[in-house]
Amino acid sequence: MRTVLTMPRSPDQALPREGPTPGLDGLDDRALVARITEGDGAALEVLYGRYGRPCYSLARRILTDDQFAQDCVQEVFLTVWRDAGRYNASRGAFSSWLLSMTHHKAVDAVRREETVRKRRAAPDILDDQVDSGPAVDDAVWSVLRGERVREALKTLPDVQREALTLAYFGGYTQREIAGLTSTPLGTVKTRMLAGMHRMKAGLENVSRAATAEPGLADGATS
Amino acid sequence: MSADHARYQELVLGHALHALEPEDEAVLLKHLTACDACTRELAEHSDTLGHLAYGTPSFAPPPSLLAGIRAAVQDESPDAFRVPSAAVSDLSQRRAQKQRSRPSRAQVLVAAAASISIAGLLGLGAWNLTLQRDNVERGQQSEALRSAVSAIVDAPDRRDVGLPNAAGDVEAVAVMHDNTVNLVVDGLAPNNTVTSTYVLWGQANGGHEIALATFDVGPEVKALPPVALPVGLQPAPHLFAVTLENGRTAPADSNGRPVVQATVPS
Repeated sequence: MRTVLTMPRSPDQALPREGPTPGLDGLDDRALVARITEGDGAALEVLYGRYGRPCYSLARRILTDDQFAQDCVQEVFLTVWRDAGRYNASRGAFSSWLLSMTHHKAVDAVRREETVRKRRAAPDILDDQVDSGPAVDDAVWSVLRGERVREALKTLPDVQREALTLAYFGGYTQREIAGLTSTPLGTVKTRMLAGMHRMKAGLENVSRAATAEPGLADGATS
Repeated sequence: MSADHARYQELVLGHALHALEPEDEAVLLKHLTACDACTRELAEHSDTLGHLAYGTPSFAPPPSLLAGIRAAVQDESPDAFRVPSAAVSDLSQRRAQKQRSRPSRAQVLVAAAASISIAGLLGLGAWNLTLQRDNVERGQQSEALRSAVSAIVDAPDRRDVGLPNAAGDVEAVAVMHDNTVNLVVDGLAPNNTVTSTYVLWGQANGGHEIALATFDVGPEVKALPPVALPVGLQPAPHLFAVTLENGRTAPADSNGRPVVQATVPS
């Protein structure tokens, strides 16, 4: 049971000015992207509702700074708004493309902003955490999914997990990781690839469960 | 598998992780233009890494983030958040016409709220009763109606609570009187009366939301007949909210996205 009318609502929590648009919520990601290319801002808001949370969480994890994370996610969604046509559905799910873009922009930002470059090593990614904000009820699926991902990560040998998480969450290049871990560059690359294949196998059940989520063709929710 | 392709596999993963040095990145990008297998592999890695993103601690973005995105989009495209459907475009035009000649919103809402209460008294009460704005504005009410309106308007325990949308525009008023509430709506977008319904919710402080009424909205002023407040919400709830729900009945729990809402001053 949810008690979701948690008030007062902040005035800046946006709703479409012309009122709700019944039906958009039922569209899959590709259809929403098509609406965005036609200039429908409400479609962008629906996509934000689905993926704003994981995008923000990822950016926050990489940048370790709320404001930088907000700037990053805003840039991501503005990129979607300006150039939604860049998304090529034949190359994968919209959510993958969006999160990949978020990751790339966050890593670019952390490399630019050395002062906030407090990159952390892998272990804390395995902690079970979720904030206690009002949207927690909406994040149940996200949390469950996160648990499965963390379980998959835990199955990796330490060195493989370290290499992958330093790159993905820390924003380090392969060469930097080699230096950080005093490991030959070739070994780092091999560990990454082996870890990725192992994790991919471990996540297959997550993919199946995600694509079974009702109403979300791309298999992700915020 | 050739040693050369194995090398590209490592580069593909490095690219997906955004972890390549610039010189390796350039080599791979050139290769990708001619290698479908590596392009597919890159998509697979991106998909897997998309899942990995969910492994990070989950944090709700602050409301200001969406507001910032909206503002930036509107800066570039002022019409971006206009509902594009023909039906609602028509509504916008009608609204624009009304704006040119309408009395103050408060006047109309109070009159309509009072009138709908009176309609109930006169046995005219029906769910989704539509008040004709012109009639209200021209004062074409019967004397009995006028008296009854006054009785409500002048009721010593009457309390009006404006329910604003996210932009701060009051689009509904809850008029409470004698443990009942009338909701008068002016500004909500018409709903699809086949697939959706608006729901008025009340919530006690710290309590669970309670569906008080379902209703539809058309292009004219709408007012609901009086709704008795449940005992737990008397004399006034802590909160009123309106949501637009899929289906034609009120769900047990709201969808959590109020269209308008307000806390009731204590």
